[in-house]
Amino acid sequence: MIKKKEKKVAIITGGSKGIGYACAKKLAKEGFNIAICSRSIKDLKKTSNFLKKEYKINCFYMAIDASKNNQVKKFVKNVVKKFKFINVLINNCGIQLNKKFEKLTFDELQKVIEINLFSYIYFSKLVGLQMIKQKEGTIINISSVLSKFPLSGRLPYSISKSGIDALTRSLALEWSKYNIICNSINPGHIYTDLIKKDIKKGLISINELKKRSINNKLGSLEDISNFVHYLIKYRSIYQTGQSYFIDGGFSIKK
Amino acid sequence: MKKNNIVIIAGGDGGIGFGCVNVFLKSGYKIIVIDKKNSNKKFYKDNNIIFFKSSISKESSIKSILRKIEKKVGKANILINCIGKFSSKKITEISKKEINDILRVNIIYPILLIKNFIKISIKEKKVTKIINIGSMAGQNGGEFAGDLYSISKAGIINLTKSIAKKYGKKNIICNCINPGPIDTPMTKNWPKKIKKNLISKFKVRRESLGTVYDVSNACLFLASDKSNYIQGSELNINGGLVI
Repeated sequence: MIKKKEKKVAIITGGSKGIGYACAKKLAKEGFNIAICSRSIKDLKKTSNFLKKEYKINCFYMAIDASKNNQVKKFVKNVVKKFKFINVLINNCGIQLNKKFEKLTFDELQKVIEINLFSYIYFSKLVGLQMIKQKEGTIINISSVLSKFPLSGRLPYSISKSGIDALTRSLALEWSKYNIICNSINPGHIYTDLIKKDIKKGLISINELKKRSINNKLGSLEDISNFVHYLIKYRSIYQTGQSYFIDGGFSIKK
Repeated sequence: MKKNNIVIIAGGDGGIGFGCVNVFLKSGYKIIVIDKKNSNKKFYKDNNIIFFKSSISKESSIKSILRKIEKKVGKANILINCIGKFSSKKITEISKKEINDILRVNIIYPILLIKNFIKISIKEKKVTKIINIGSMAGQNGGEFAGDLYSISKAGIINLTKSIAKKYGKKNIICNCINPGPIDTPMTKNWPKKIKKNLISKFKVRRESLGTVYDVSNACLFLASDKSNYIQGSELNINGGLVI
């Protein structure tokens, strides 16, 4: 049996920006040691410095392409080496693509699925193996409301997110016996840097996004990180295999 | 201390309801319990909890209770609806009287309470929360849970979404928690064989049914202002029975 450490440890993929960053801050505030990865070493450095200074915690980071299994392997190996124990995995990294199916190339489709879905699978497997040894773990997959309610022009994204929900249910089925719980969080439209950029470029209209919620509002990063915090703070083995929609009513308005 | 948070817990004297009372008390909420039974009298008194004895079957008494609450402590901004009655009877076994009974307690009374609560709440600008306790049986049909129980809980789930749609713009946030079987007075008398069978189906390793805290902690989160973007949603907490 692997000994538990005093400080808990959370891996957050795509943890240097957006929802991942919000989660990292929330957990660091709770005293978690944090391990983050993304593609940009610059963002990682900035985030890591902030977390260490602000919350007096340890932060490990590494720039990787999460869609490559060997790079994920290297990352996880280093995290285990450094922290010895992994309490929480938050699969969060992902990309968007807005293109009609008839214009979509298979290379584009493959890229989205590799980053949005395969990275989650690689991380779940590699971190999961450690969690099985520990006989404890919490996996949270950031999915999307589009997993169940796709939007036109968002086929690759929607497919990848449906896959994530199925991954969540499968992990809960297979690994509950090792005291590993797994849930999805399915956000609606959240006001992230990514969306801000797309709005600025004129790719999407903010009003259209807002209209999909009941209260004509976009969600905030904290709306998601608060739920992540709740799932971890009140960790209940009775609460697993579910997809929790945080979407301002998007899914019932459809 | 959450000064302005006043929570009404309907059915607060029972299993999940009383779990909520405990959790909300620890977080500093002002609590009002409405229940037809009062088995924790001393506890309510000791902890400054306001208690109304009522089965909320009559609109006139609901209105009067809501008025009294407002006078005493101000308008409540959270309503948790835990009232409900269990039955394991199949549709072919159940009498008309029993059908009426279950639908009354599980659907009609909650509707009356929610209706009057919304009416006084939409005048306010601030966010008001309604949290309903549905059931796993209300999603997929019941196995041990009776048909009428399942139907009534399906109604609660749908009611949740309708309210979110209709009154969301008026700052009413309505969500539903769907528990699997929980260790409460309601399930206490279930046959051992049934419980054992359910536990064996859990995907999680568990020696017993779920605890009231599995549900009441979720209630606490949904009641807080940290969850304001969750609207018309179902929170399933069922040990992985429905995956």
